[in-house]
Amino acid sequence: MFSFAAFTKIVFAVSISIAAFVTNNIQALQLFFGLELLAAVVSGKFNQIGKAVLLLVLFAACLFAVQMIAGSSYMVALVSALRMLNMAVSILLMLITTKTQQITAALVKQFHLPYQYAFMVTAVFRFVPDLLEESKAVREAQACRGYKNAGSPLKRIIGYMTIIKPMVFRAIMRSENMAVSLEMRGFSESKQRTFMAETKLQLIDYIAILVFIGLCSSIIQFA
Amino acid sequence: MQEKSIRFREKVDGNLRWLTITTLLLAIGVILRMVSPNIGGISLNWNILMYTMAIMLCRPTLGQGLGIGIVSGLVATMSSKAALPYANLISDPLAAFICAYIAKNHFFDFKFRKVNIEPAVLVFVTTFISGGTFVFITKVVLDIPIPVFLFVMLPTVLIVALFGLAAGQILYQPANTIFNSNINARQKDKYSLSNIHLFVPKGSFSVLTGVNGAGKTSLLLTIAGARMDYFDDIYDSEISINNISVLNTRQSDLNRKVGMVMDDYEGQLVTETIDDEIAFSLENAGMSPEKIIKRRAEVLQMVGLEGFEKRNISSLSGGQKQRLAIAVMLAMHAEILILDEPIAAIDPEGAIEIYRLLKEINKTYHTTILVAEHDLKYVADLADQLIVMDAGEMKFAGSVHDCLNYMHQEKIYPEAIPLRWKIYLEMGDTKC
Amino acid sequence: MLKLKDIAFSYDRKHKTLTDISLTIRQGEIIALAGRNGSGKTTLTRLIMGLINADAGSIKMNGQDVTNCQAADMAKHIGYVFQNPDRQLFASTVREEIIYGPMQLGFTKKEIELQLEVVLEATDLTAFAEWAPQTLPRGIKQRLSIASALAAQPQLLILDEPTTGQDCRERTKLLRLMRKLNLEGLTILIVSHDMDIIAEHAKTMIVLENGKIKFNGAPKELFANEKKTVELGLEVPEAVRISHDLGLDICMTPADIYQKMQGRRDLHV
Repeated sequence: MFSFAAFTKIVFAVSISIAAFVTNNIQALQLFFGLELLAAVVSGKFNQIGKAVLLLVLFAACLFAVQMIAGSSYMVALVSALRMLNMAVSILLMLITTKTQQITAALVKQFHLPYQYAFMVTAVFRFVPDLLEESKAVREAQACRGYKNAGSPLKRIIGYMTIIKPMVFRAIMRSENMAVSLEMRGFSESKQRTFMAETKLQLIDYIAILVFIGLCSSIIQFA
Repeated sequence: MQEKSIRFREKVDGNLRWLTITTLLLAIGVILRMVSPNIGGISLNWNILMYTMAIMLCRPTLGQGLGIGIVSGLVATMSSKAALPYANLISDPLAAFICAYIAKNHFFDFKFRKVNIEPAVLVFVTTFISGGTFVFITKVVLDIPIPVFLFVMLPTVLIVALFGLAAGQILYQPANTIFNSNINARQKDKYSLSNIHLFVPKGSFSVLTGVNGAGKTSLLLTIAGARMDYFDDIYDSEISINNISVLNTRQSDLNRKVGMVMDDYEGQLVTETIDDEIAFSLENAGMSPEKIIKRRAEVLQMVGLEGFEKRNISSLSGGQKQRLAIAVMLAMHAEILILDEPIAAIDPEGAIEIYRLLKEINKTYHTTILVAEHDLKYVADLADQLIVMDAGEMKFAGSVHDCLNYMHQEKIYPEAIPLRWKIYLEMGDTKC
Repeated sequence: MLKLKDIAFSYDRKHKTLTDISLTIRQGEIIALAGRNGSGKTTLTRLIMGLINADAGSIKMNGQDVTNCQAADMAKHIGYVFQNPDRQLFASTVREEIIYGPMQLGFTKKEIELQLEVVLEATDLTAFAEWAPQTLPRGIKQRLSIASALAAQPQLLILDEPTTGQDCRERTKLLRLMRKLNLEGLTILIVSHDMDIIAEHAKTMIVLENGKIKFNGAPKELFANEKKTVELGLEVPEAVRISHDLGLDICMTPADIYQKMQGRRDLHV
């Protein structure tokens, strides 16, 4: 089921979100949410997103509570909580079943995002683990010079600035090398660029998109 | 490969700098979101601060500004488990676009009591626009009651924007100093390189030595053809590779011939896995996926990384990263491989491995190799040619023996002469 | 001064990173820590610093038990210089970088001023006081890392691979500085892959393998035994090899070789 093209999965997520936005019907929203959970289980990714879904459910409960406190009706509160859940979980599901490269390739090929921006998105994720390690190293270096992670939250945020600074500085220094190296690897000339990630839609994708959109609209209609 | 009398002054600022800075700053934004402390549930949206910084540093075009916003929105959507994931896709591009517009026109670029308040104002405005848009969309989509919107959400945005203002003001000035320091430091009326007459024979293994700051890196970059947007003012110079003039050839054509591994090779590796990294340049060159897969397998075997294809680059050791960077260059069928301090951050075992690999590539594929190296311990026995530089000038090029002798006699970087050679040169009579 | 007894440590409870580590660091010595990659060297220094705490065993500093102390507590006794200077410099100027430690540790204003001056002088950084650390050349960055560690007046200085990425000129300078600080009474623990440095400067040497101490004694004792040196994954120092090739008595330093060669030549004359 989840060997669909990235484009198809994006369409799934977006159409569920639109459907959830359009309808005010509780049953329809519950049905959508049920569908998402089912998809999560079928794709075998439930373990990976279970915790996040739980957090989102908690958040939805908070949203519900806030609405009630602010004097909204029970129905309105429940609708917005469910709507939020549907939108958040659908995209979570799309992300967990699709590789970053496939998403960015789809963004370039099918959504016509210029390649350089799609590249930036993947490169951001490439450097996250490195920088995370770097931030830990800086924190340790500070501990070695007597820094204690204590005091008021405000103080801690200010203390945090001392970690950000060297990371930002190093990023600036590194950006120079990175720019030259991209240039040398033909990045600017990538007009006829090929993509390893398959983006082409198969027959099954077209069918799935049609069926899915039909399903969503009939759920709304029927409800 | 021939290089003749280069003299030039350096100029920094490649035209991709806006892209790389934004990328790295947004990556910082992502991790800060993950690890930063928050006050009563309010945490700074570091991404907004980060792209505002990038926009202020580079002053990109409006189109690029919009693109930066889209990237930030996508990154936020893909990295956070937010309640309303799509909202960032609207709020960030809008805010970044306006930010780029203000930055470009320098609307707030003035001093207030001797302090430039542009960073504070710009971060505040951008954060407020982005945050405001975000909560407005949330309000509409989730039917949030007006009182909650007015008295909870908007004030929250205001507080975050105020934090951003403080953070931006603290960060921007020193960041800008560093951003420009490279330029200032080099604006002296002095050539970075001069008097370079060098001939590198095809298929040779040449080593370029000298203290840090002697001009090794500048020379290597020039030979690799990186000077297009990195340097300016090249006078009375000529570099040719197989009779093709480097200075008059488009970089994309040159790249097929010369591959360079820079000293910060980690910044050179820009994708997530080994497979993707090799594919990246080949995709840029428009090679078909089938050919890429074939070529990739070949080069990974050449550098001994087969079996690691799916590994994340972040999880590799320094030596493995270095080998990957070499494989990337080999994949492009580089005839000349240039490496800047390849073992500077690698332990001795890894260092010996790297040089063994380079020598093997040199012998088996007749790839011309040019390495900058300040420590001659591992290369003295491998090199066909040793070149010594000092203060931007080439002092001597010749066989290892002749060059070391020159360094010894003329006291040019004599610290680097390996002990064995030093004793031999000093005692004359005893060949170690 | 520092005594480790039966230390054990594991990152994940499955694989033991360090086992049965017992060692003593004596006041005023230069002690070297060597071993293959992954033998546990850095884990050991991090443990001494308090960045991580031992699962078993005890650490005593000047007779006081510091086994479970945190790095922030150890900072007044021990200065730690990491391998990569870029990751330990975070202030806006060299001056601020140096006074960071003393400020965190609650030195008085007067003490801070004094320390700043003393340290700048000792590391020859006075001219760079107002520079942004990140913009300094690599060699000077490394000296600044040392200066920042010295500012808190530690008794022990830990240097983790201090010569990585340094050119030969900077390297010579750095080692000279280390020597000078030691002569002034500072105890130094140096982690290094470079056996030439250890042979020339260290009084005691500890070799780790798979988290266990495999050698603890004078470097000369180990390097005289080429087989054992290689078995432990170490290179034989160049001076030792050359003295061997030249048929001289074992030499640990270049100066040693020159002296012995001179002696031999005099004999021939």
